[in-house]
Amino acid sequence: MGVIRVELRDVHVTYQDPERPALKGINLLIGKNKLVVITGPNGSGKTTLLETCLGLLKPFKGIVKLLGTPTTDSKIYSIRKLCSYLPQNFMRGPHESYTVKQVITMGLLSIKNIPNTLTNEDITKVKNIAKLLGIDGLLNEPIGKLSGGQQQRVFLARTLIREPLILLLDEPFSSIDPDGREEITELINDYVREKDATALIVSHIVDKGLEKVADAVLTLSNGELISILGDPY
Amino acid sequence: MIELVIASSVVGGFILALIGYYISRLGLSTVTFSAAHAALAGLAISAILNINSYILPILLTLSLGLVLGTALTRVSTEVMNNLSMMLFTLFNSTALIAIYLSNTVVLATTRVGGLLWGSPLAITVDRFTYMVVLTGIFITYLILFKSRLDAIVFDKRLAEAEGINTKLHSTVVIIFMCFAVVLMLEVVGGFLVFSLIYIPYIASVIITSRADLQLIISNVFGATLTPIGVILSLLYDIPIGSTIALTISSATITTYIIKNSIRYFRNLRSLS
Repeated sequence: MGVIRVELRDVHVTYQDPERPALKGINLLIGKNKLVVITGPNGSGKTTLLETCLGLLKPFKGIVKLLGTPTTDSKIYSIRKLCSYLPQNFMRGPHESYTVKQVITMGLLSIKNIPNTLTNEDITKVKNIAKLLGIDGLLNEPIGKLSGGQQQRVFLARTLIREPLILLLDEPFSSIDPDGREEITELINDYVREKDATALIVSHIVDKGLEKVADAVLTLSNGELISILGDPY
Repeated sequence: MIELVIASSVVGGFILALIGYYISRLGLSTVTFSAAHAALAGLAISAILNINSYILPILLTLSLGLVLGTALTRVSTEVMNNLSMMLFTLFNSTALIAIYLSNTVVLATTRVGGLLWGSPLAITVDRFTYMVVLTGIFITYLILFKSRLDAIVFDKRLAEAEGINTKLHSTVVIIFMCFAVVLMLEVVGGFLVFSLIYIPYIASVIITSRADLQLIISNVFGATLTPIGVILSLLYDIPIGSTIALTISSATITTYIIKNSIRYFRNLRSLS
């Protein structure tokens, strides 16, 4: 029996209308060292599933456990520190005043105990991750002045710098060009394999590169899990 | 006495601007309106009952802060704004009725004057000490949790997903704001105290687009222009609250005009 990182048992989620649940009876086990892709058409419940796994949305029925802890437990804040999330709506307007360096370090500082200041080692880490994602020349730029693709790379840097056990990435390639898409898929896959981590990637397009590295592809339709290709656990 | 008034206005202007920076960036400005008027209502009722001027304002404004803080993650920003403005109206009308019902002797006191348009006579050694203590506690809180607050300010949902208790920190900031408002209420007046919270932040946004500089500039604005307003008020014998608010607003508008003029002339030069 392997290690369960994410567990959903008969999970139902609704927003406003209980007659139209966003997720219906989802049962899922996701293990460590797994890269799982969640796909499906618009409005099928992909983002809802990701946010439910993190406990940002509470199911009205069923149990969700993250690293063995129910998401309704008060310990969930400590558990979330072991995870990283890349939201779908990441774009910042031109007036956003935080710099790229500040945005990346926010992710790092939130997992450190207080009082938390950046050490020399942290600064090196920020520089290295920025270099890896090709944004090292932008560290002192306000994030709002960057293009969509550059901003998405900043958010990816923020997720990876936390060295999480679980990566939850919502459409991480939406603003990235095809070459970059391949490079980032490889980067995420390397991270999962090296750190024995788990990645849940929401993507409405599953290209050959992503399909090749994925351990499982889950398809959602109208809030239901209609197919599981491969082994997520 | 004059030294105490100036020192209090520096500390008061600084702490309101400092808390105001986070209140504004957290999108909680409307909560400030209702908190200020909850304190105003408490103070007006205290004046009628002739009781301690801190207890009831603090009780009312803190209860409101806790209620709105608890509601933060449960309702949308729109609902939050509507709720805040409804409570603002409720407390404002309560305050005005309480003032109207008070007898003429009470109405003539500096206490009621301070309630409406502020009074330098409200500044006492006790009040100044409370302001300094509050400033010290808030700065300590910032030293410990600034990175958490910055993450919430940048993206509340992402911060929550990364394991930061956004509701707790937002409520703590609201509570600090409630205490600061109660302490400055009688000095600046109930109708204008909230202007010291958001106008320095607006000025900082006009001047720079960098978050770290905005925090510094808004504090400098609050800590320098509040005492200038106080001095002008004493020199020309005009209401202290209105003078401070007018000074800060004028400086902000002037900053806006200068900044845009510079940009306009730079564009002209680059075209020629």
